[in-house]
Amino acid sequence: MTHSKQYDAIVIGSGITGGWAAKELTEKGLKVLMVERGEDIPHRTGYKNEMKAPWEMPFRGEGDQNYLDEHFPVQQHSGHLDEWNQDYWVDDKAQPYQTPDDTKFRWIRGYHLGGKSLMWGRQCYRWSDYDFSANARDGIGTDWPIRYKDLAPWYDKVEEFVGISGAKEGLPQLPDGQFQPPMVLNVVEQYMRDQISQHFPERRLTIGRTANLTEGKPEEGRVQCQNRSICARGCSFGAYFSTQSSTLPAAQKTGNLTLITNAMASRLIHDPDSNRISGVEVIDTQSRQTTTYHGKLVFLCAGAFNSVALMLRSVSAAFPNGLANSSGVLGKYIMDHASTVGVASVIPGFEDRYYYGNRPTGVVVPRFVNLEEQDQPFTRGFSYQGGAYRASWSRGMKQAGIGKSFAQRLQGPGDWKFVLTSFAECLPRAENAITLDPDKTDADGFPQLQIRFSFSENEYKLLHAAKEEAAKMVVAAGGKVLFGSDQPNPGGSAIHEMGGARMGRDAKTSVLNGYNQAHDIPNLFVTDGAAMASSACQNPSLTYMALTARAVDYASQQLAKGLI
Amino acid sequence: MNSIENQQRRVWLKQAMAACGLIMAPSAVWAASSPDGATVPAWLTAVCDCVIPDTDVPGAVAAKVPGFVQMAADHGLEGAKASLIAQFEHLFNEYSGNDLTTLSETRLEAHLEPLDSAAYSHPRGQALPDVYAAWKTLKSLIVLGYYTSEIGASQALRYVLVPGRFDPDVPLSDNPKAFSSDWTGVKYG
Repeated sequence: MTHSKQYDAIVIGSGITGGWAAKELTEKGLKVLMVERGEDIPHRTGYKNEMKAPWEMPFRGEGDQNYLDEHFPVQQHSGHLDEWNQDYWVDDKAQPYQTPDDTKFRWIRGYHLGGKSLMWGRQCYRWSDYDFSANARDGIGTDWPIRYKDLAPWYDKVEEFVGISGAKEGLPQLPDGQFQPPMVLNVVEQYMRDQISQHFPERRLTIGRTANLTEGKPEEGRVQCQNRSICARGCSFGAYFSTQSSTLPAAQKTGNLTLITNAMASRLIHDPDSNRISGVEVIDTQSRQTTTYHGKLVFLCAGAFNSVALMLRSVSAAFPNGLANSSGVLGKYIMDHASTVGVASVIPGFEDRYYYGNRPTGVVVPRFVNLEEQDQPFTRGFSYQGGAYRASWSRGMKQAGIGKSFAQRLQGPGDWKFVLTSFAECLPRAENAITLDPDKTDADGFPQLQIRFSFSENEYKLLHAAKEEAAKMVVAAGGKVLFGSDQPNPGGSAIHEMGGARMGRDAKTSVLNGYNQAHDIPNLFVTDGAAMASSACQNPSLTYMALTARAVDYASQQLAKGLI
Repeated sequence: MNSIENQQRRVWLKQAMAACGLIMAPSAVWAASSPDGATVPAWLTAVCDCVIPDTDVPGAVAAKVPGFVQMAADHGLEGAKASLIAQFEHLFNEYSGNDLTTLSETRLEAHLEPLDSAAYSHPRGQALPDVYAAWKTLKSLIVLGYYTSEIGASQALRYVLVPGRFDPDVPLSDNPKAFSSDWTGVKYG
């Protein structure tokens, strides 16, 4: 074991929140060490398959299914993994976890510089007070210690830097932000927006709010989106927000950042005398050498479940049940949106219309139930994301036909499809929890996680209503419903896993306070998805970013005052 | 062999064989090989030609789809088992009462059309007969192999890696070809 020098702050993880923590801390003049367990994927030069055509890939972009089944039995269900980007996902064989009894959970991960920011869905939505007051309103879960007004200026800040394109709609349940010009609805989406507004005045279809630039940021080396929609390969244009394209160069520009990759934080060391995290044990995954780093502040941004796992591993006499776990709720109240295809349909009447280019976002239909009135046989709500497109050649794999007429038919586009995926809010429940497996270890020798997760009756009711309402909108617009589901995909499928170290007002029932600071340990901040006390029904990453920037501001002030 | 030579050779062989009164498919004359180097049965080449023949652009044989299908089956694409090719030959012979290896392409097509039609109209919820299941998998691999080949993706269809813009409403009459690079349209069909 070696010992290293003192930093002002140590950031564990380099994904969406780790990148933000590093940027904000370094820009405040603090000397920061960022620790990333995986390998470096440099911006541009690391995106090895970005420009390759299907015929230049050994398996035409599909991947070797036998290899995928052996190494990515979970990750291949992410909806984003393909042959171009398969190296960005964890090898499930090397990084297994357990789902006890008959529970299921798809834990989707990327262990490399940038984490999931490299492959994420880029949808960015503000949460509203319908969300931050949800737990208080129906008494399920503990009240958030913050409200929208606390986060609004931080949403402003992160949106401006990230570069989020979107349309202002004036909806209280999905507050407007500092948007770049919106991407444009295609002809059928515009028709559906008009039809939905006409038949259901309280509902709105709008373009997705996405972290893809419609206006370049040349001063940051970022070019506007080229409408390729192959973002998850990595984007040399820097057109979407990732650690590589955005926060890392900003942090490096300060000269205050030290980044180490292939460096896994194995344990946080708690000093009972000062009641501070006094060191972070880090294993070099290549040499297996352990080094202890010291920081006045520790920002835990390893991804919701891995941040909790690190806290569960970091036991001591003072915290025998997990670090900063005097409340006993560490690992509990995990969530993921219940998601499924609400409706898949055909919209007739536009057969002579098409589009050019691949817009890297779909549309969104924000929540419209249980807002001011709680008038449904369920609590909370659901929203939809989806879009309209014309089927391409792959429909030929599902249709009858051979010969010239078949080949000629497939040369043109197919039907206009309109699809809405339902996202239902997931209630925070104590029985949904992660723990350390007492026996099984991963390839690095650390205890595997046990993820015990199931959806409750409320999520099933929400998805049932979402299916029915989606079909109504399609039928009202003259569309033909092909399919709809009210059965959730396995937990984790939305890749919005969150909770496990929730924020709260009471140290007896929560792990973190209103500034993402551990109630028990003043210099420990957890600002990734682990901090969430409820799930809302919209994507959470923007909120993680805003919480991180806000927590850094608070922490640096406390540090300056000598209170940490 | 490049695609143009391949196409010319097929045309020449068809003419030459017709002149000799032969009805054997040209695909039976030479065997393709897969990217893994495995030899592909001649009947598979004929089947690929039946599914996607030459149109105004070269078809599946020119795009080396037979070799792709063999390789794709070996690696489990579209749920295929490595035994798919041999299994289909067996099931087809059983189903049609013919020997797949000796059928002319014209007769092969006459058998494949009803098989294809029956396989795709089989009622949902009822167990799919093995020959239908094997055919659907085989055809999926042929379609996949063709439209992800350079010929299929960029000649039969349009391939634009960097569109640079998004036009939300374009008359199809401007260019009636679909985009193989419309990743949403491809992914969700």
